[in-house]
Amino acid sequence: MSSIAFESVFKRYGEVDAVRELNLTCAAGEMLALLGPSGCGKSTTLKMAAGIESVSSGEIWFGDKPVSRLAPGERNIAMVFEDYALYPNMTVWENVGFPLKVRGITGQPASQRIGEVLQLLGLRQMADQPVRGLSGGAMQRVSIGRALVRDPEVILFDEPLSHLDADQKVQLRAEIKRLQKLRQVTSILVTHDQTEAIAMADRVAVMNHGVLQQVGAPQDLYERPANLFVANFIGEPPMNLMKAAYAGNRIVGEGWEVTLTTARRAKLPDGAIVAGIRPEHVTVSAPDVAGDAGGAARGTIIYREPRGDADVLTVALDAGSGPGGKLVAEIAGPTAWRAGDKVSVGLDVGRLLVFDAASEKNLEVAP
Amino acid sequence: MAEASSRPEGSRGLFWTTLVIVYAAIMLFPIFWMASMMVKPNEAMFARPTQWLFVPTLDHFSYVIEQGFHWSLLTSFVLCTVSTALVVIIGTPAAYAFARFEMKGKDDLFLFILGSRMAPPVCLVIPFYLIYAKVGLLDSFLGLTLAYMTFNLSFYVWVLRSFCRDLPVELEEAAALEGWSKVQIFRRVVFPLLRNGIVATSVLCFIFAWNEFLFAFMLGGKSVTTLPVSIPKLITSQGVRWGEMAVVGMTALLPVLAVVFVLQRHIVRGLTLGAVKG
Repeated sequence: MSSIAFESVFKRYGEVDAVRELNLTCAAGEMLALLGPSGCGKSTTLKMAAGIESVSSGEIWFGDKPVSRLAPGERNIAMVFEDYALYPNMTVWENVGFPLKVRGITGQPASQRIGEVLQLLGLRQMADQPVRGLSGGAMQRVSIGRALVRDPEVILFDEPLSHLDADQKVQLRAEIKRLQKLRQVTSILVTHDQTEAIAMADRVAVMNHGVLQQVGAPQDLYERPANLFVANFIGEPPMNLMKAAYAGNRIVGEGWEVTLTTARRAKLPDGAIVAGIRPEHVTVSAPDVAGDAGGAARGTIIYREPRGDADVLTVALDAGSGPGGKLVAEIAGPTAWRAGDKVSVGLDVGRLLVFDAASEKNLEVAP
Repeated sequence: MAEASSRPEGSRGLFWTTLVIVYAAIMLFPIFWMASMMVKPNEAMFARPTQWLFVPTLDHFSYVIEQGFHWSLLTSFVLCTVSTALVVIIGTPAAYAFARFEMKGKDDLFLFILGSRMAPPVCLVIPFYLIYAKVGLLDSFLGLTLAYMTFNLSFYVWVLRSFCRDLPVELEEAAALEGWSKVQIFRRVVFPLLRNGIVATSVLCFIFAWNEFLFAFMLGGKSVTTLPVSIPKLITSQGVRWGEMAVVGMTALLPVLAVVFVLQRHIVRGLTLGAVKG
């Protein structure tokens, strides 16, 4: 078991930087998710850790051992692929046993370990079936078994759940997490799905355009996103982001305004900002009680999306002149609101985030 | 079940079946005619009205053997087998390299390889003839093998490259993680998966070589005569020996048919080759 550290790692394809100056550490036994939209450099990062892609500059450390010049086979890692990458002409047993066979481990010790892993993954009954024709979930289990069978130092998961049906996804998600904790194996998970990252990983690293945006525990990223990209990428429905001006202790947007506490005010310079507030921190009430504390704006509901235990309301704000912005509110439901209702909107000022309009950075999170 | 339900019902089905049978009959009639000519006495060959019934004769066969046509058959067979085998041995790694590895000027080189098939063969055969005359490769087994390899190799590499590209690269990456070298990965992961593609493509190469006339005619000679080149010898000063021509023609046809029948499964599978996906 060892930690993984990326130290000023660059990956260049000609003129393009696929990964730019990456500094990131995954502690021993930890599961770290690399999260980002497609093309953000997360898969490239994973492949550099695996040794499938070379490092343009910088160094990757497994524990205190530099590995960037080592061939994939010399790094003692295992990988689980999006497309399973099973050998189609072998059975389940042979696929799981393949890494042992390659290393010349045969006979009783090998079959005992293969048996254990199959047991762990609930694949015992399928041992002699060819992998061709198994369901996606079963194939991915076999692929995880192949990764676990030889106790690697590191397991790299490359979008392991993307091709699975929703129910198998949830099931396998829990199972991967359980096995990872059971074996205490250092793991990196690449995914574009925030639910997956938040559900499985101890810490999440968000990447965009080859640059690491923020690393932290899922709750940290949710509550204190370092910049607009992370704020927008994490959370469903996404955070409301509204252009506004900050002066004195008041934030004035298109059709709404709030007052900050004096303690917060001292830390913020005046200027153009983007205010962010999560839909669950927006309240909606009948217009006649507006004007009291928290009532920040008036508007009209233009869309109501019922979610069973909650309703997601989209409100068009009334601006003094012309149409104002839109705001999404998520409130415990079911509610009786309908599209067309006039409402008063309240914002939980304590939860309001302030981003610099130019640098897009959260002004209250230390870089 | 799917087959049964997709079959057209009743009279429409009958119509299509009839159409297919008629089409097949038209297509197969020349072959049937050639087969009947093999055993037709010369008097009945062009009799009008057509004699459908006649006493079969083996005269044509004995003439063909007397004239040593079986040597041409052997030449053709060895030449095509050897040149196709060499194409597979050289072309498979080449196709894989073109599909997987980054190298300078790869695309240009690839187009250049295909260039040998872009020009009409008759344009290529003249420089071939001049070069071979200089280096003494005319009428030699080696010369024809090389010539066949040039045009089949380009075709083979071109087609097999797309088979290689269809293989999921993750399989090779997974094997690399286990510590296998590039050569081991090629031999033990890529090759087994490519087998159907290799069979399908090499069969096509074999057939191209087998049917080839121009190069064999120009670059061959008395000592190396392939089967297609031997046929015009039956146009003699005493007239055209139609029966013997039919015998040689049929002989030329049979191996191709046999190969296609035996390997049909591989060929179809090869042409629809794809990765295992869930």
